[in-house]
Amino acid sequence: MVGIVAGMAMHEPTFFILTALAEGPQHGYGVMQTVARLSGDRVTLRAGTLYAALDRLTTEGLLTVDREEALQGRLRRYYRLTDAGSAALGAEVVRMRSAASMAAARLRTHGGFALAAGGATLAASGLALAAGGAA
Amino acid sequence: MNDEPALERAYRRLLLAYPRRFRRDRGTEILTTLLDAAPPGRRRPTAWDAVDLIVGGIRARFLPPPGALNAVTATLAALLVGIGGAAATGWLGWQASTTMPSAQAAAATAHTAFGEPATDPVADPGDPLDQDWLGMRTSPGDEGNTGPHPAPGAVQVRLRTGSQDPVSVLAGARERMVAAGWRTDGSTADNVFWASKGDQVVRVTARAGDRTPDGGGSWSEGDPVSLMVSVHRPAPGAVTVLTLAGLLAGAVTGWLAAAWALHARARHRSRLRVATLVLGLSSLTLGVTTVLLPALAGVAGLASIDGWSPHDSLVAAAAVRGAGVLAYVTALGLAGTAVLAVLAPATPAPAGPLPRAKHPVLWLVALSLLVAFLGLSGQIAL
Repeated sequence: MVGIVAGMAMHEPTFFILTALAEGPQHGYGVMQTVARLSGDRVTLRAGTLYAALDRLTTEGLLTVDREEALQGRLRRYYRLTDAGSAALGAEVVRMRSAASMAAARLRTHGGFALAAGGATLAASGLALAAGGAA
Repeated sequence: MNDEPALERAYRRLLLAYPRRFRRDRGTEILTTLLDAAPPGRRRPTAWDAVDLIVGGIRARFLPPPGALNAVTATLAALLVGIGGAAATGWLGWQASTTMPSAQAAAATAHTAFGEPATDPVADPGDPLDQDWLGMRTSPGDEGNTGPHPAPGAVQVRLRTGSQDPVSVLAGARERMVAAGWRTDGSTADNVFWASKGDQVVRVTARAGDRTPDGGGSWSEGDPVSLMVSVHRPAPGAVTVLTLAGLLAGAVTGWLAAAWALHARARHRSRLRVATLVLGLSSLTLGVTTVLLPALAGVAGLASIDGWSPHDSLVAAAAVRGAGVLAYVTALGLAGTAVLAVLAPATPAPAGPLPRAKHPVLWLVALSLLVAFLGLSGQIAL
């Protein structure tokens, strides 16, 4: 069971929140902005979703409150990664890297097979790979 | 950044979706973030922000913390407490209903069937939680009872006739009852028929021998025929409704209590956190093995029988009684878990890696298996 959990992919919002905080402590709105920037506006965190995640990650010990700024009825809490949070993000990076290189290796094998089967296929898949690389 | 007071009021209203504890800890912070994120001049929250906050509030109120194990725990708690609720309301409803005819009413019915005054009615309250009775519904069905399903309790009256022919004795009884306005059912056997009228469901049998209602005497071929009338009341239909209501109320309670306890557990420091987990998980395991599984087996058994008798809804109560003292142990364990959850601090445990027991999952699984084993062996022994 532990093995399965360790091998499981992190949810994307979680990944981006931890990545955003890897740069240094940030408050809620800062995390929102950084996640949007890092993901090329693909991942938009709304407040309800963000705070559900921050709450869970704090409870799990991956984040902690760095400091608070209270001013005129407003409250900004800055969060930072704990050592456990850095370790979890590091483990996710290793997992993603190994998954990516495994996929790349299999894709190369597939390309090799296409080479043997016929030149036209090779040209087509080579083109597709080039296009994918450019995107 | 936005300082529109109308927007702030609207956000505050949306934050009411969250539980009070969450609002107290996070309300101002979330509001600040929402106002930070709103472009200048915005006066009302966007529809997506509103949906997001309402969904977030519902999740915080009604869902356990994320994770498959938490979801399974809450589901099992909902099923188990649901069965408990169904058992309680079903049993109380049954107790509150009249499920036995009076001796006088039974004697009057027997008088009709016998064609002469009936004497010595014997009341047998039966056992509504008898698993056999719950399943025995097939046999009255086989006997062609298409009237209401009877409750197990009955008042029995016997008449010793001078006849040697059970078929003609029974035909005579049937004629007299039909003449008195009873609805009788076609029988596939020639020594029994069922009849119903008003609040009585009656089984009439004729057989050679001097068997008495209280179990004395014996059936024996060649003897004069005894005519036996068992007067039942219909199983009370309200019990089905009450049982379903109890099931629903229990399931909702179990789910919410589990979600709440799982959140509370996460705020505990490591030692109490483990204690809550161990007590909660072992009580749940005990309840699942001793109450939930037998109840589900009972429901599966009922599903194989045609039709539905209100009496069938006592299957939950029968499962709880079947678990005996272990049902109480389960209830105590769950109550203890709730107490541990109440003791949780209002704010989460300090962050950072928690001191963990060695191989916690392994020894929890071992402990659960041990409890399940004790539960099952205890149940067999009882």
